[in-house]
Amino acid sequence: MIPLKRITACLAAAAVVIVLNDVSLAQNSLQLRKNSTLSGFIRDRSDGESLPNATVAVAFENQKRLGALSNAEGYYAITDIPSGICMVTVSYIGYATYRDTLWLAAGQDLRRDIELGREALQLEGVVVEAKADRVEHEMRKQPSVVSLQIKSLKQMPAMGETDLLRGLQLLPGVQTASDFSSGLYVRGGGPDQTGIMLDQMRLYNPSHAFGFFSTFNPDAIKDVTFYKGAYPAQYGGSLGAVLDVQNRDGNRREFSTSGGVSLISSRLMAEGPLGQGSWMVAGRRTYIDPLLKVIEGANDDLEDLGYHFYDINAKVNAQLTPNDNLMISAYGGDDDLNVGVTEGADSLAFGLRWGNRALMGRWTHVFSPSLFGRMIALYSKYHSDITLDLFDTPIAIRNRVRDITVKGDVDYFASADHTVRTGIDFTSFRFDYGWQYDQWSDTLTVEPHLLSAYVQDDWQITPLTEIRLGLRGAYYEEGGHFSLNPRFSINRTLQEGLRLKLAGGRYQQYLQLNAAEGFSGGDVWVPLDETVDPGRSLQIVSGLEWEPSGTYRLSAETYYTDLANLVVLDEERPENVDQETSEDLFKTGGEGYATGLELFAEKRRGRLTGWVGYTLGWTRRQFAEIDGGRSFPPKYDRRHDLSLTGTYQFAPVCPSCGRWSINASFVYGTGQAFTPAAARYTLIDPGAGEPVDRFLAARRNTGRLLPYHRLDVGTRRTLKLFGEGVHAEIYFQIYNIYNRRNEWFVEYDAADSDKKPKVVPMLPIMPTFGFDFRF
Amino acid sequence: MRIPLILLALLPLLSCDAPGPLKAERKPDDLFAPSEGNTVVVEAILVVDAPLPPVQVRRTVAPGDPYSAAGAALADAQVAIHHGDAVFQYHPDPIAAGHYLPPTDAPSVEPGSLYELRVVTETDPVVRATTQTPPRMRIDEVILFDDVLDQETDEYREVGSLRLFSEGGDVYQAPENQIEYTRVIMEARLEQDGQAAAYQFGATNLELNSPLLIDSDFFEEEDLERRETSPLLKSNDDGTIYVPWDGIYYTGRYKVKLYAVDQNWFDLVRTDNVGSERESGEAGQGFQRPLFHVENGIGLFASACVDSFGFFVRQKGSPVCSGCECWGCSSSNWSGVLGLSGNGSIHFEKEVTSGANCELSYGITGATTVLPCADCSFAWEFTLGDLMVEADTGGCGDAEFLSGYTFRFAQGTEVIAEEDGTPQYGLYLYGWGDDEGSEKGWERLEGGWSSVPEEGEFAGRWLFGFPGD
Repeated sequence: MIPLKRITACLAAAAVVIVLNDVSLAQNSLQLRKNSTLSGFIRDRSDGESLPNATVAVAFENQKRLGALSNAEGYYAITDIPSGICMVTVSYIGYATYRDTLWLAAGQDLRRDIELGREALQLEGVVVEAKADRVEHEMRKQPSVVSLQIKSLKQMPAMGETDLLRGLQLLPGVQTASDFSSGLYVRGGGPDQTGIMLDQMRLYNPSHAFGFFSTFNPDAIKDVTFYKGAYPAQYGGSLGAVLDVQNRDGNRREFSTSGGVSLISSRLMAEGPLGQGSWMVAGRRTYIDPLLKVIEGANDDLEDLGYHFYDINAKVNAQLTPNDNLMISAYGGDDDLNVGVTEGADSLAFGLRWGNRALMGRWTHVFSPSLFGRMIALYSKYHSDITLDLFDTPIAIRNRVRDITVKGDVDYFASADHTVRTGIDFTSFRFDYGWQYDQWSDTLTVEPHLLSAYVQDDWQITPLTEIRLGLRGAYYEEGGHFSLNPRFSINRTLQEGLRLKLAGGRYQQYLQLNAAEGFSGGDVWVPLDETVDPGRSLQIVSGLEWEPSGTYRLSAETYYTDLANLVVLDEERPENVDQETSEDLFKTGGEGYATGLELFAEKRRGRLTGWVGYTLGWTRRQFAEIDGGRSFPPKYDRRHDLSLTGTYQFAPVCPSCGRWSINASFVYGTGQAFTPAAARYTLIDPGAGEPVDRFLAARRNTGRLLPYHRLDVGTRRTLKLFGEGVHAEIYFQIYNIYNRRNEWFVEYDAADSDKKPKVVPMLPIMPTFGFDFRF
Repeated sequence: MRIPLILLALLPLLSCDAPGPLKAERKPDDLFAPSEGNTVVVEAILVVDAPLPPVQVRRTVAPGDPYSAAGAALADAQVAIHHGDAVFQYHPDPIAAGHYLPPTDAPSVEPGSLYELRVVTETDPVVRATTQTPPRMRIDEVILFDDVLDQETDEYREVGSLRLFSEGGDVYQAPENQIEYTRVIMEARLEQDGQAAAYQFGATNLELNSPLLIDSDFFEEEDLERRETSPLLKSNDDGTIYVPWDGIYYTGRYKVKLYAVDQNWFDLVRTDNVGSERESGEAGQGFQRPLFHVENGIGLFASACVDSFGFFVRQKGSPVCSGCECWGCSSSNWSGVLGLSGNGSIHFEKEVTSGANCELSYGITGATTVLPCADCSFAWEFTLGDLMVEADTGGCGDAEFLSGYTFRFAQGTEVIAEEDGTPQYGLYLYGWGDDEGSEKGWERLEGGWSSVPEEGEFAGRWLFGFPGD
């Protein structure tokens, strides 16, 4: 174990150094060609926040154009610029376009850090947006990429308060299991098939309140990139999708705060300058516990009733030199539920606790104008405990996941046609899965290591064709699994605004989530060991995107995913069997597929903004040990899924008056699959020797609940308090305004021959209101 | 401001359901799948070293239709069990439709042997199922351990062992079998010729009125059965198996059977919906069709090897006590009178030292003569009608809830006593027995009596009675 750990760590470090040296040499040789390089950082003028994916373009008198996109840290570089005069433009959504004229001498490396000013949203009564979508370039290269603006997210009606994952559930191809779940079911995949990262730290259970909300504090979020499928080689470890969330670095200019109060929780974010850098702290806590204490006080038998959740995000961003930046980011959050009942000498206690802790340190360095590198150390820990003490019979499930990752990667802006990104990372996991039932207890502990490396080239083949080629290799120590996972995407511009895209790849997953489908709380993650092959998917995505103007965007995408080596928890094993291997714990060898068509139309500018998304999808699973090996649709198989969301902003009555807006979202989905009863019969319970009336289940998931649909509406009004000092917004929202009691699940009661089956509904109409502020 | 806020909060409660087509509404019967009614359901459990068991044959019924097990019985089937070259043809039970009895000269079930069940009906393909009987198994010892881990040895300390039935004597009175609830860990040591597919305990409380071991408003007596089964278990390599406490809810005598089960039993129970909350759970998640291993039908054709042990359990923290003195001894009796016309009543009396007494009566309705057992002279079937409680100071318990239940009693042919010149005979009840296999049949009631006086107040009427405990 230990030698392998050391060897892999040394290899990782050596590989990074070698890559850096080689690329630096290559860069020196390029300079001999006497062409120039323009590089620097793109930042927000008001708070110094770096702006990833900003578009930088250099135009020449001869109409030739060169371009680049700022990376995740806001760094850009354009190489091979001929000497002479050129026009530089930098654009980013919501910001005024930067324009400048430069004269570049032969072989000059010009460092130009550029700050963009936010563009006024109000111009002669017309709401405008900046010309460029900040993910436009990424979306050109790669289909199935979505970016959700936090500002847009806050405009949508919400259940209680703004939530990132609930907002993503409105996108085509993304479904939810129930009103109570913020889990992401992307393109026919389960929630564990989407890797979720916050500042590159993996969050194993990003949910609060049993899945009602996600752990992402909307005030702290800077950037959200969501790959619904066919994600590039820089990511790995999940069969389906990747959600990459970046928190704010902090305001480099001045101290500022923002926050909000809702019926669910209160939150506060503060940020400010720290030397040449910045800091940011954001916290959130629910306040349902006082209400529960009142309930506890009114009931003598209740001894310990409490529930709360909280989360804290913190970041320190130190600009050591113009070329060196050190950032430390941390996250912590917990959910804690206790129910204690005493009755005479006996007692019953139930506890459910889960939470994540994560810490990330990142050093970025500009080795040369065209070579940008980062070294990252990550620590993430997830814990979940389900405990039940039933009259002195202890029952418990305990899960701990810890991963420590060291990674290094570089962006090499090789030429105007090639941007190469490569990296290597080493992760040391430790998983503990323990359970106790009365006097039995057992713990499965696995400490696998994962070594991964990738290389990816963004290649402009012709002015109209871009291709991204990638290869990710991974060595998973448990079972000695080595895999090479190629990825690709091609983008061809057919005419101005019309693009044809194709992408695909091979993906592997080494960790398995065991969670209830209806809610997430106390989720359990288990690694796969040498007894079970890692999950594998092959994905292919094709798409057509049309932007007739900057206002409208329409896209159509098809996808097909082939799934193999799937596992599900085996709940049919005897109670006291050792669970020492993955084979003991899971039903293995599952296969499946998901395929579908997604249509998306978005209006991005004007008083009325919003989108319409539609998905036509199929997904199936097949396990030898489930339903006699028959193929079946999982619960979240959804034939039709429609979502409409829109916001209308009214013009203010006067220049100093607040602005009203109204918003609405409507969702419709085919009813979830469920297993209905097909007959009644009586059969002995052999151990008890008594006949039991029963329902005979039909084949798995052959029934459908009624279609799900819901309309949410809301209104918001901006306010300025204390003169211009405080920008505030009050909102009032109604969830499920026509009070449709969508079906959640079905109950059969065979004990009573006259009892009809019963449908348990989901949430009724729910009004909420709240208040956000910023100063 | 306060009133609008209160109204807002109450809106979800006060609001009407979605109007018209927006409403999520449908008929409950739409929640059923296309019917799989009329499927043949077979049921038989072979017990090693016991006679071949009866076979129950029924049909499934469409899920939305009214259902009763008796109505689903399948008569007129041809039932046979094959063992090697031998074929044992079953014959229908004349008094219970769908119940098929083995030939009287059939040998006992052999361990480690293959048996095949065949059921032939007029309309269905032949229903077949096989079972490989498990090897012989015997409980050699039940060891008791202190439930507190010994800090020095990091092991549980052995504190004794139970007296087994094979050792003779009244095991329930034996001092070493007096156990305080959950204060010891029990481990059975098995003597067996090989491993069975799995093991399962079935625990039966032999008392009628003993109190719950757990004192809680959250669990009522009707929620907790006096007969429970454990989860499926595997035995350790050394032939030991842990005896779980769950399923033991009542004070008093417990008879615990250990079943070494075959693959069919194992597969049915582990994939069954009953007892694992899968019958309700979320749609599609747990409700599933069990593994039946029956060709052209469903059901259970299984085998097991059985042994048992017993003990007396008292409440945690209570002083040492024995028998009903732990919860209050009682004397209770049922007595009935039935005329030839079918009119009659049943009376229940109970006296408890704690003062929790009861006196009640039921009218008898729907009385009709039925075929008696082989050792009986006549039998009646009747249903209990209206209840009249004459006194209840907390002792009636389940006796108050028998209206609508149908019973079948018979008078035996063996004279057990004589009172005022009238002979008294044994009394038989048709029901589910307590023995291995637990098939429905006639069972003589311990302490029961039956007579038809020729003179006096009850001349020409049938009198019968049996102890309430």
